[in-house]
Amino acid sequence: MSRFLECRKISKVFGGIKALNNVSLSVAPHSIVGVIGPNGAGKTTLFNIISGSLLPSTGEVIFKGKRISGMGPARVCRLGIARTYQLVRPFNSLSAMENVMIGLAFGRAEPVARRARVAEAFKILQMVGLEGKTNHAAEGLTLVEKKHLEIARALATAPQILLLDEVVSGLNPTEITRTVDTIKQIQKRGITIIMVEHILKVVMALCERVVVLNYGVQIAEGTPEQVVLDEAVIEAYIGSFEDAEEKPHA
Amino acid sequence: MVFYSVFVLLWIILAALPWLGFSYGVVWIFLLAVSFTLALSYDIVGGYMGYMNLGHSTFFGLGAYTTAILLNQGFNLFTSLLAAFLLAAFFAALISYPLFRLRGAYFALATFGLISLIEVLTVNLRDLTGGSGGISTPPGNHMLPAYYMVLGVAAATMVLSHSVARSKFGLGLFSIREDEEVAQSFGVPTSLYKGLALVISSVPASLVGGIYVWNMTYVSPESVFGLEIALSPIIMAMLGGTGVMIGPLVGAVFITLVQEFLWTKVPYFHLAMYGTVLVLLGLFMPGGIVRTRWVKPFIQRLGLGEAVEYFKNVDAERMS
Repeated sequence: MSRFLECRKISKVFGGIKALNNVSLSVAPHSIVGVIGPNGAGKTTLFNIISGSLLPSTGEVIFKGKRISGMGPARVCRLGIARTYQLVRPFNSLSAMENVMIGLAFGRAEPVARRARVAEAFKILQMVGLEGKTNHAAEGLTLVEKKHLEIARALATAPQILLLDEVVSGLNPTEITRTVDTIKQIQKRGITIIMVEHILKVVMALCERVVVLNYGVQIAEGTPEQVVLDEAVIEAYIGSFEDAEEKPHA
Repeated sequence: MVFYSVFVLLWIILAALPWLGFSYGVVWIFLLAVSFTLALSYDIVGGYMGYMNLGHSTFFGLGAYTTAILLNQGFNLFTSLLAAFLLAAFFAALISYPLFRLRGAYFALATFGLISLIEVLTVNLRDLTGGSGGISTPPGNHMLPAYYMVLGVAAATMVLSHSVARSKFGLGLFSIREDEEVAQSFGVPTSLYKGLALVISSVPASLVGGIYVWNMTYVSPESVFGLEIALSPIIMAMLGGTGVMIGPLVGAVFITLVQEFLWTKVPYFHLAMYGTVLVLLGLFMPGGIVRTRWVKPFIQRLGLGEAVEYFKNVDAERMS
């Protein structure tokens, strides 16, 4: 297995709750990896740990041979790991252009020079289909536009790994198709993608490998086809026959 | 270009004022320019960065006291002013560390407490500050030079505020205002920028404080650490519109005009008015005067759009 990005035996404890328990994950360059699991499985916690906004209780994250857990989100971002947020968090009263420019100006190891910033920001907005909204305030955008703006802001930091946290949830089928296309475009540029997703159709269409979490424990890993037939996964999502027989009213 | 020429023209007119025989106008513009500079420098922290610094007048008071004390020691004005702003900047850097560990209402409260802290110090360090009686500085008529100096500081503050807003630093401040956590994870050096913003905003405030006391030849704890001097710049910035340069200007002119009419008829009423204005603002005009539906298009038509929105990002419909 490659040594591009590795999560080694990560656990995270919040008070008495183990949000993650010994999760290990290895990601090959240029791949798309999906992280799925029921609500509260620890998917977003895993993202927060990879992106550096949370410290793991035990375990470590290794990116290109360097230990990045403990570096803090800003340095992780400059090293090349950018993220979007599940509940969108663009800079609301700033324009789409400025949102991207913040990524360009601060999120790169070598910031884009002032003169080149506008042109570069426009290129990135074009890539996600927001070239018509450059001067619109982010808070006036629709949900799908906000999600694309978050992708653009993350792309502006010139990432090698892009973490997408439920980027298609809440979108309609047309918007989902468009977003899936955008994600494919991004992968073609050589960017590795790790995505948390609930919508299995999208995961099946995009991901080469899928990791399934349930109550913080990694219960399955493999290709999407293998994973959806895995008994532990089916049980986590819809329960087992024994459960149904024991508790008919549950 | 229109943007700059309008302000240059305005300043030429103001500079000519003393020679046209408006002696009362000169006093009035002097006080207006002091308030405006305070409001504009407050806005770097309060508007651009979104941290409501209720203790901004601390810098004004520090500047005033330092200048007064040094003038009485026989130092000349420029040395005194230099010391005043260095001290204020140093003080700002010092307090930024504990203060910026707080956010939102807690930050506002802590900064408000800062005024009382410094006020109690000035009242009790009697040997240095003259206690609650205040101190007088060497007398003399300094109205005219003081007037030009304040105009100069006000203009410099405008240039400063404008260039901050268009710089990478300004972009960082805006991102802190919108979502500090996200800003930080996108590499904005938030602690450094917050401290730097406070230091930058302290400099004009301390300078006008020094010039003010030199002109008035008297300073007391009440006159520089009082509630009015603490609140009025903030009300001006908010009434006019925070986060854009023309906001504090409109607010300062408006409030000073209203004061002018109320003061003579109903003493102390303006204090009650500040409170009322603040409440009404939150309810009906959260973006301030310059962002209302009627005013903003008008300003833009004058070619001053740059002064209302630096990055074409503020939507009139949304704000009003």
